[in-house]
Amino acid sequence: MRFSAFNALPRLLVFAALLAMPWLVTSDYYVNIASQIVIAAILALSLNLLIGFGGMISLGHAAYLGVAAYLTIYLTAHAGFGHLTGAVIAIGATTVLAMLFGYLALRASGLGFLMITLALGQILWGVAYRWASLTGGDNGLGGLKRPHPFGLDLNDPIIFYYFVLFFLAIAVWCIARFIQSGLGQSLQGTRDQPRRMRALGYNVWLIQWLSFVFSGFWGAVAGLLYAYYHQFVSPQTLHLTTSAETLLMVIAGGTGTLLGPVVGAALVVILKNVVSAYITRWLILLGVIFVAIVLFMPEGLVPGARRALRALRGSSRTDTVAEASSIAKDGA
Amino acid sequence: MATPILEVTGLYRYFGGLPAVRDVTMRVPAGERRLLLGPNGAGKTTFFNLIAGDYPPSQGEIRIFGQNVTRKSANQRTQLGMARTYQIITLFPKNTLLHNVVISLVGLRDIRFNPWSDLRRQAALWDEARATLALVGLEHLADRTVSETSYGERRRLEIAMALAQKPKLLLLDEPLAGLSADERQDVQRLLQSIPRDVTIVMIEHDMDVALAFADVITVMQHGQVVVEGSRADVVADPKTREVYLGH
Amino acid sequence: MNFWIIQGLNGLAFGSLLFILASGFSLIFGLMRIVNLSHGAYFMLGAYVGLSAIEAGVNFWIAILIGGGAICILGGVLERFILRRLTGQPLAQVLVTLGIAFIIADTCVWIWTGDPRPVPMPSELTGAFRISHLAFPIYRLFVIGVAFALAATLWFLLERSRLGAMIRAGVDDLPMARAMGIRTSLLFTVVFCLGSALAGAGGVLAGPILSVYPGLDTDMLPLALVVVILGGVGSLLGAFIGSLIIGFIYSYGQALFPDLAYVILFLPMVLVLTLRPTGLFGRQAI
Ligand SMILES: Nc1ncnc2c1ncn2[C@@H]1O[C@H](COP(=O)(O)OP(=O)(O)OP(=O)(O)O)[C@@H](O)[C@H]1O
Ligand SMILES: [Mg+2]
Repeated sequence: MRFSAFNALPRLLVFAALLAMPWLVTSDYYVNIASQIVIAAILALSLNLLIGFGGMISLGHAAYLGVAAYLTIYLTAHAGFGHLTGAVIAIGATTVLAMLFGYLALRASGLGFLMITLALGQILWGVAYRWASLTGGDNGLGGLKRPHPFGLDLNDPIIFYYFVLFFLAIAVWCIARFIQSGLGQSLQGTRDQPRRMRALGYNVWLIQWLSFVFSGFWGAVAGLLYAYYHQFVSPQTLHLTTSAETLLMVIAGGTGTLLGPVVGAALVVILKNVVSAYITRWLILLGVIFVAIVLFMPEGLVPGARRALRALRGSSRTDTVAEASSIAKDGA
Repeated sequence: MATPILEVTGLYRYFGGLPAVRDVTMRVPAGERRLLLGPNGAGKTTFFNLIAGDYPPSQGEIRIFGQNVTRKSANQRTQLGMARTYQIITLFPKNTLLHNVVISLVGLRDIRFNPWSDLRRQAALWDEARATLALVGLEHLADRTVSETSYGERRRLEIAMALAQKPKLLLLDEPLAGLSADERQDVQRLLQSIPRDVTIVMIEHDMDVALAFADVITVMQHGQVVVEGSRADVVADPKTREVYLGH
Repeated sequence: MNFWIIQGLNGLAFGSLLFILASGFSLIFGLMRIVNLSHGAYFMLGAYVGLSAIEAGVNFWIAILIGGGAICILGGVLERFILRRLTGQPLAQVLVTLGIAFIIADTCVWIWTGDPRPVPMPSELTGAFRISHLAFPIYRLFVIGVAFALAATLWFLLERSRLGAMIRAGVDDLPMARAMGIRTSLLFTVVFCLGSALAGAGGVLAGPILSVYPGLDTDMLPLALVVVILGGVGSLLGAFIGSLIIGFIYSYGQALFPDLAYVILFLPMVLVLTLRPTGLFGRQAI
């Protein structure tokens, strides 16, 4: 029974590293970057559900991050809701949005799906940008105070870090369960052979839609934490570049692996912070990386590294996951 | 007269103005072994695709088990108790043979919508899948991935995936195509062993196999039914000769 | 009443610009199955190039040719040397065009800074056209005329010329077209260059109305996507009608509900996807 796409060891290593992070780095600055990585990792994991396991390339995933963040800040800092109610409504409403977007985007597949998600995402960006009376327009929306759940002071960077890490752990757990579940396995079947799946009795549309909504839910969780972290949100959060960065995390890390998006998130966040410290041309670099990855490393870093490792160990078995999900090989 | 398992009336399907299936009417009663014969491009596979619900007919009606399914989706039809195999092998190449059969089993079970319970722990499913593989003689390869198996083995897996669903109506699209003589015999024996409560419609080119298997034969050409009848009738009919020898 | 007429004309003008952009996008997508996410960036870069040409003393009409020509060459090079290598990998192609879009966008900020830059109008077309007490900028009327002329030309090209016959054959059934001996490789380059040139020239033409600013690319690109979703894949008529619909909605929306103009753009897309996923004039679902 060789379902398994990932060995336990690298996963344990990554988690050990994440747990020990505050001891490994010395300043609050780095702890904060670690928090950003963790939040980005949740978002990337949720996008990977679509891309890696569902074969649905979305270019509008910033929608869930941004809408949940806007709602969180608006509800708690401007509309007088408590932190808990605000969080629940923000995540709930964003999930409902995912239901609607999923319905629309799944009217098409492949490139059409990609175009619709992109258009929907950019329209939301336009709303945030233009509907200034509600969203603050270009100035964004701020004023959020971090909550104190169970007496924890989230203003302390280390406590905040463990707070978001806790959510990442839950996300990884749920998503790992999902991938091995009946629904998750069905989703992977629809990615590989949609026609056969239909003939086998699967409602392909429904399976994809449910997965889309599940993915949107975790995107919303990332958005909630994003709002707590930055205490501020602007249209930039909803912009195509955010979706593209998330996509880059997924494909750089390797689609269709549990670990990949976490590694990819770390790479992209670190790179972005490092680069921004020296030059202002992050977007060019983002573009160059996109082109380079597609042309030279279509399968992503994690599967590539794993294959290399395997080759070193002398095993001839090819990595099934790497084959499964190379972006370049996926048809539309 | 009992309701036929499959009843097709006045079925048409056009591709870009050209009819691939033209005014096909067919009734297959319960338990029958029906054979579809016809030269390449006669529209046999298209006819199967229409019954299976891959695409809608341009015109006509399809009933299975007495139910009008013309507007039903492919998966809904499968849920009623129909299964098919593909002429062009359509499997999950990166998964093991066993996993392929499990996917087939899960398609008819509610667990396909369950986002939480681990499919690997559903021992009953895996046992059943293993038993189905044994039925087609692939048990020893259960843990191989499809990409590591031979063509003949894949053909048998195709059949196993359909049988796993315990269909009441089974559509087989050239299940013997590309097999060696030995393999053909194995598969033929397998098909013979399918109980009579399963109704089978099969497409096959090989006359000998066909004749040994079929109760009723339908010959198609240019999308139309040319001859239909018992083995003897069809063999004796000059139109069969015409279709097969030309002129 | 005046309001409706003026905003209607504005919508027509905006829809016209959109058509110039979206027709190329739609052609490329319909024929090559490439979702060219650089298309908005081509539009913006074309506008900047045209602006620089004008600032260097070139006349507006030549600037349009320069903007269109530059983007035509850029598109041709990218098609030949990058997209061509990824034939048969539509997703890889999309990601590459997205990367290129970012590179172009940021390069533009680098060269032309982040401030919005108005493109001066050609002196022949300044001023307003008046009927009784209604006044409407001549330049916008001109843009509308250009779009209609372009639509007619493209229609003629597609329906009446040999090139058009080849393109239509390719859109309908690419393998078949290839089997009939059409040199699809050359055809792809020609169509990609044509679409790129239209985007570049359209950018210059849009300059006096929209100005050029960083973000013009991502403002326009989703609208082109919406137009194609609305109109249907590979349908010129669809791109035309879709552009005008979006133009009107945007213009009236902007004037009536300025906060919500962008949300309203949702509506036709939601309706079309729900009721007719092939788009208004498409034959296949996108
Ligand atoms: N999806 C499609 N689009 C366009 N034409 C099609 C399509 N499917 C089938 N056809 C055409 O319909 C006709 C019938 O094809 P079909 O595959 O049904 O024949 P067949 O009887 O199964 O032949 P074979 O014995 O070769 O399998 C052929 O001319 C084929 O080209
Ligand atoms: Mg066939």
